[in-house]
Amino acid sequence: MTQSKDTEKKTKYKFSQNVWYMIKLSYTYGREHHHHMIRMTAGGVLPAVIAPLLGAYILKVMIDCVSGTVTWQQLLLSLALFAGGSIICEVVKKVNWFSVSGLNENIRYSLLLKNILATSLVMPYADVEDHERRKTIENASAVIGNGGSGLHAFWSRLIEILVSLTGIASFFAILTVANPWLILISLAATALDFIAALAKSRLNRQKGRFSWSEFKKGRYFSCGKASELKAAKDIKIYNIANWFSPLFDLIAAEYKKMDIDYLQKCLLLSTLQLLIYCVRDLGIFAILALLYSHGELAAGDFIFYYSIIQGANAWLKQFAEQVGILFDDHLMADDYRKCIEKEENNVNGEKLETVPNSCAVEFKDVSFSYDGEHNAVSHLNFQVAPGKKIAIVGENGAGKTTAMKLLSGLYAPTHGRIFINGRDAGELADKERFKFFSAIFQDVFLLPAPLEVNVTMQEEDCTDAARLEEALRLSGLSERVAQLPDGVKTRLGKDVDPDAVDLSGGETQKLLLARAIYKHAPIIILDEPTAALDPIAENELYMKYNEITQNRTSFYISHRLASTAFCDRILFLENGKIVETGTHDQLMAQKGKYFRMYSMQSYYYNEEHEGGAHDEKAV
Amino acid sequence: MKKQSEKRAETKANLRFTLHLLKQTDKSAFFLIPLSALFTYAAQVVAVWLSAHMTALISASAPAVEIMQTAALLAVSVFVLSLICKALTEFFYQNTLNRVAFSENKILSEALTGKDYALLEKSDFQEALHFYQTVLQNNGGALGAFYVSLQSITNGAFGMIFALVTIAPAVKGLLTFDNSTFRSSWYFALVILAAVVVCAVISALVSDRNAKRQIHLEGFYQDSYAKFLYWMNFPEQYKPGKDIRLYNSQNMVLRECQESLADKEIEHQARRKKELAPMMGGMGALQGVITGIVYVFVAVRAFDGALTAEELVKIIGCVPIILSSLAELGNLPYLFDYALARIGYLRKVCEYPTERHMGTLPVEKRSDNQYDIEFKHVSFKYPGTDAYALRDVSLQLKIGEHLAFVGHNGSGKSTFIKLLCRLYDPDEGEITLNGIDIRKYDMDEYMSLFGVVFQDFSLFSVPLSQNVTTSVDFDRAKLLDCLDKAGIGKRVQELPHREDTVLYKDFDEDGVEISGGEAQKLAIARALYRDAPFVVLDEPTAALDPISEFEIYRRFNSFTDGKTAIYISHRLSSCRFCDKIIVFQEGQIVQQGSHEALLAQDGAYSALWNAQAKYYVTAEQA
Repeated sequence: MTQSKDTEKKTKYKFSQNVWYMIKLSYTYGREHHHHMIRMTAGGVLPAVIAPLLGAYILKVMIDCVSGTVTWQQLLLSLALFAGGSIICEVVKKVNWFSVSGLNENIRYSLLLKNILATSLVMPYADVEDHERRKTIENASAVIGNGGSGLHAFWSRLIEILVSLTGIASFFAILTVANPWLILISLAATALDFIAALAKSRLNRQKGRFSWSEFKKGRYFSCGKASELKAAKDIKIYNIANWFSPLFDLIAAEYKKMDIDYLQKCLLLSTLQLLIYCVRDLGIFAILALLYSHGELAAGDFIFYYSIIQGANAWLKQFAEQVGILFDDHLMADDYRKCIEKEENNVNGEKLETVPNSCAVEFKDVSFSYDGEHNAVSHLNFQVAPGKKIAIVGENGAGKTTAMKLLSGLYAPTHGRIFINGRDAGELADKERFKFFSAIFQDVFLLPAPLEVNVTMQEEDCTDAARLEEALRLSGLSERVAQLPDGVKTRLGKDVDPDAVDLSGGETQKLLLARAIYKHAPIIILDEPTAALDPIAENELYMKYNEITQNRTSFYISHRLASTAFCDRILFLENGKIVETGTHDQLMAQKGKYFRMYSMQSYYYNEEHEGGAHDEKAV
Repeated sequence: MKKQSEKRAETKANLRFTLHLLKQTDKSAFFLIPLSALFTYAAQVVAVWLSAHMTALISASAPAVEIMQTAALLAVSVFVLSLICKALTEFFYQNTLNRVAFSENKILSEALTGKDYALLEKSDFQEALHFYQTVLQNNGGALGAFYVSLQSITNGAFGMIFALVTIAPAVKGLLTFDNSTFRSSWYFALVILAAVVVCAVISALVSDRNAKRQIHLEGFYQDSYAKFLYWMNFPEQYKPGKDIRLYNSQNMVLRECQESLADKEIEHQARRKKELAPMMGGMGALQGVITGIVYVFVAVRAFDGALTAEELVKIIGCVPIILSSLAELGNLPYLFDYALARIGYLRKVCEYPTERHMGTLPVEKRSDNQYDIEFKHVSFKYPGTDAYALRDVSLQLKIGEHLAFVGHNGSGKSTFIKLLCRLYDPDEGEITLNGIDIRKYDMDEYMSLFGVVFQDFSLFSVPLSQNVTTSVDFDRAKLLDCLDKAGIGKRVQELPHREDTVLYKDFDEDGVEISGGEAQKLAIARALYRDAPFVVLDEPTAALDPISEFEIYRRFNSFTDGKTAIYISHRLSSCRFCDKIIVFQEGQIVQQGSHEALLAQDGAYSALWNAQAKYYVTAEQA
């Protein structure tokens, strides 16, 4: 509860600003997709208002028939008007619905593609990893997630509001003739109803939040994780069915508790609303009875006004609900704007004319902290001459990957500076900075797109076929690609596209290597590129390493210390600091930490070793 | 095109499955739906009835007080009836529906987790599952659609009955003809009735066609929905962020999204509009015509003085109820088809037949771990492929022996493990446990003999303790012991809620993101906790640094003591602490023996070994 209040206080824009923003946005995108916005709006509003008016009109005509004040011609004319009008209204209503839902979908994809996705692609990488920042994107994505209730459906809500406003106005125009008090009572009741409706929409927002998270949980254990082929082996072997089943009951119980709490509050509000209507109706009847006692009301008039008031109240109720929903829209629009209006970091930095072939790199007292307290890397100082091959080794969590993310510009140092070819890399615009690096990190990212796009990482028609072939050859993937049904055009990602192909772990690793080779940037960063490769493939990579790097500066992170053999220098990291540096021979002679680690890994390769029995004595 | 009989059989199967589902879920909806329909229409009809009564009072010039009494009765009774109705629908029924949706999820989860593994790889099984996942889960599930149609039929029936009962007294006036003109004769009534019936029949036919179209179009939608989910979630993913920035791939990603999703979606919308809009428009027109005809009849009768004001009010009040009830009932074939089609997908997933032997023999419980497994001329091809993944493999796993499996990527090592664990059955040859074909044993019991760390193991977004023990109630002391043995005990004690910390941040803000190395250690702990007579480790140290790896190597013999163990690794140093090395090449075992014996031969093993060991064996080391 308190949580939701907090989030609702912190809107960036006012209600009116966001509503106006959404009107403009929907209109612009609608026009862009060739929708006739005015026609569509009229098509939504007119039938919805005219049909009930026709109903009230024909009712009056019929009551007049009973009292005998209508001629046969008048009746026929009225009936023709009513029937023709009703048919046209029904047809327009139904057909227009498709136009509106088409508009909604068009806007939905414009918002997703042009804005949310595009924003997420250019914002600084540190923000992408940041939990809070990711939340804003999550919120922004949520606004277009639900079929009929997202921001993309704003225009259809606008139409509904126009319908109720027009409806109220037309009915009130008729009622003013009878007695203005009737209108006053209706309005007063609506004001109260309005408060209840707002409280309800707030409740619904909370409900939306918890039910979405519980829904995601339920989904995770049923058709999410449980249906993944990858998890299926563990699920079978460990008989996870017996574990998930009680887990599900726990989630369901948790959900039920929250659900009942929500539904109770809802019911309370509904009771309040019904009570308001009850009092309102009593007031209206009292006025009608008063009019009657003064002889101002005939039987036909009584029932006519009664039906008009019922109609007006229905519109008013609808209006109150819609304003509540409009308030939801305002909050969603705010989430959305918070996400997309954040400025791109460092776009105005220096631009480069050309990227050199080989680069010197220098870290000057570089520190970085993820949480602001504890340094992931601290006071790193080192220089690398152009074309040198560097191996970075150390235990899990020593800061090896972090150092490389700092170098490539994915993170900015908390302290210190990084120089590339003698110039402060921090002054370069991100886009320019990234041009220096061919990097593969341990997180695997493959897009459900053709294989060649996954290697070139550019649009399909920009592929340089010769360069692609060379990259595939060097990474050892050529043979596999030749076997694929459509060669380099084969689509990857079976989970999204049933006709696509999934690569094995080793193949994926080779593809990432091909990606780095294809880019041909002056600095190469390879983070554990052989973890999934067999010894022969690993050895091939080592043998080809010079051909791959071609005198470019390279950084190689690996737990397989064999990789240090073909590198010019080793940086040994521990707790974010460089504790040893030098060539393999130098470090071995030092008999320090590197020596110890190397000895451990080579222990079992050593011919003098006698097998498993004496393990405990080692090192 | 499916044959009629096949279709009928499918409908029958779907109906049977619906009953089966209903048995397993909350049944209160069955009385909540009629009860709420009862009160909804009671409130409406009481309002019509009392307002008609007021009209009568006014016509009779009754005193204002009497009218006010009736009005008060109307307001209060509408309040009470609506309140009951709200409580039934908004509270009880809604809660029931939510619980039903959860039960449905659970049924699916049970079906999937309990499924034979080989099935999951079948493409038509995956297709059914895919459809269910993407379209149904986001639209209230399969039973949700069923309840909507049930509600529709109940509302239609109740509305019709209430409305007809209310206007029954007026019908006499409505249908009393003096035959003076055509419009006051039976013929007129018959013409009106015939017109309504014709329109209703056409409307029902169009509705049925519309239903089929819609179901057909959903099939088209299925393909794009998976993509929609992918791209919807894409902006929240942080893993792709590095590559997209470093490779300047923003335009490429946007274009892929546009081409694979947005363009298709716009096409889909256009198709929907083109195919469904005319039918919906036609249905709208028919509805307008029916309304018009009914009003014409009533108006003409009123004009001829056949009705009193009170009767007219009742009729006019009830006509909308009758028309909407008719529309609901007319919509029924559509709703029912639609709901059954949805349930059909769930049925396909839950009842997909397995061709494998699930086995019945219990596995003898032995404390001495005397389980002897033998592969006898086993060959195997993955479903849907022509190449042998394993060819004529024979191997005896001797009790207590520690084996190292080596070979290239794709040489059959992991496939051997999958057959050993009975995730697949051999195509040729047989695997025996203590001399009996393993297919004869109860599958779950047989699988409980293995503690496995697969190369691509999975951990789940639940507390760490449950991940390791795969259970909600577990032996805490044993858990802590296993964590220590896997070399992660100390790290776990540093976590915010220690062993009860939730893994990953999917559902819990306090969840921890663990590194690949830590995950690997947890997977090892999970295999140890099982304390099974067979331990299989497939690349368990790929993400570990040399020191952690060495620790695992060192402990390997202690935690596999007295058990049969298989160790698969590309780091061949692991061969040194195993009793026997099995070399795989292109699906066959090409060499087996001790490290020393194999190294002495000029074979596949020495090639593999030397490719790696040359980097580690230095003069200095010796």
